[in-house]
Amino acid sequence: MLVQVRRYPTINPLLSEIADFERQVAKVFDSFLSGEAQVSRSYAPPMDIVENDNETLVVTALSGMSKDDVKISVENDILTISGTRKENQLPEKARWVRNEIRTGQFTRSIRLPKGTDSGKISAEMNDGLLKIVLPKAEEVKPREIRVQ
Amino acid sequence: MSTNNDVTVVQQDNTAMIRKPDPVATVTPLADIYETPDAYVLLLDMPGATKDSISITMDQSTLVIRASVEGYVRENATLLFNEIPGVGFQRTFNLTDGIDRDNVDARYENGVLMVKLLKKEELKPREIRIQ
Repeated sequence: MLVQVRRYPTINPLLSEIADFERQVAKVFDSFLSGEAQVSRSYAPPMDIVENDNETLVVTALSGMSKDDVKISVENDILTISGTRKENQLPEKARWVRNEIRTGQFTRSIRLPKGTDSGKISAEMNDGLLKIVLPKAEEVKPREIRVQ
Repeated sequence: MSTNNDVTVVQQDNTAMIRKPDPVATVTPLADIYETPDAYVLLLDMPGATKDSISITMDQSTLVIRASVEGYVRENATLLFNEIPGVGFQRTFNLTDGIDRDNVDARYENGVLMVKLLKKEELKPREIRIQ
């Protein structure tokens, strides 16, 4: 029986840009791994990006993982979130009835928005959501200029 | 659909219950289900659901799980990129007579809800020793 997963349309043309970028990153990794049998499954956890005047918030849905299962790195203005979600363990004498949850390795990358204060990036993980705050440097924050 | 299962899955779109006014856009959480000799264990992926918002309701034939996600798009903020669907979860499972409705255990951790449905005593496998 098919399981219905609702797909919501993305609201921003950034989507294709991010997807292209991730493909390029994946290609680089693949070239390193070629020749090696890749048996592990991989998937892309969904991501939201929210911006306000002071910061950009990157939210990634990573249920089933603790903060020790996730790695965040910034290199050359590229923020990369990676990790491995372990499969749910089947106890002894048990059998699967359904198996819908995707597990395995994942990597998601975004280019840091211009003007990110990369020294002040912070992250927290709660209830399966990873929230990374990218603060904006003072000079890129919008300012109101009063007419004298 | 497999037979002899005490837990089956229904498409929530077919259920009459969602006709109730519901301002919250819900998605169907993905689930892993396994059967042990004395129970069924459901593991549902509900990232962002707050523990207090999770409701598990059971009647004669169904188990309904609902939860909502606390919004993080504040006032004066713009959603630039959106892949995480909906702001809540809802899924309905059909139950047969084999489930002990008075013995349900639930736990929520790291965005995964675990619901353990114990089988009725008379349906558990028993070993009969030869005298």
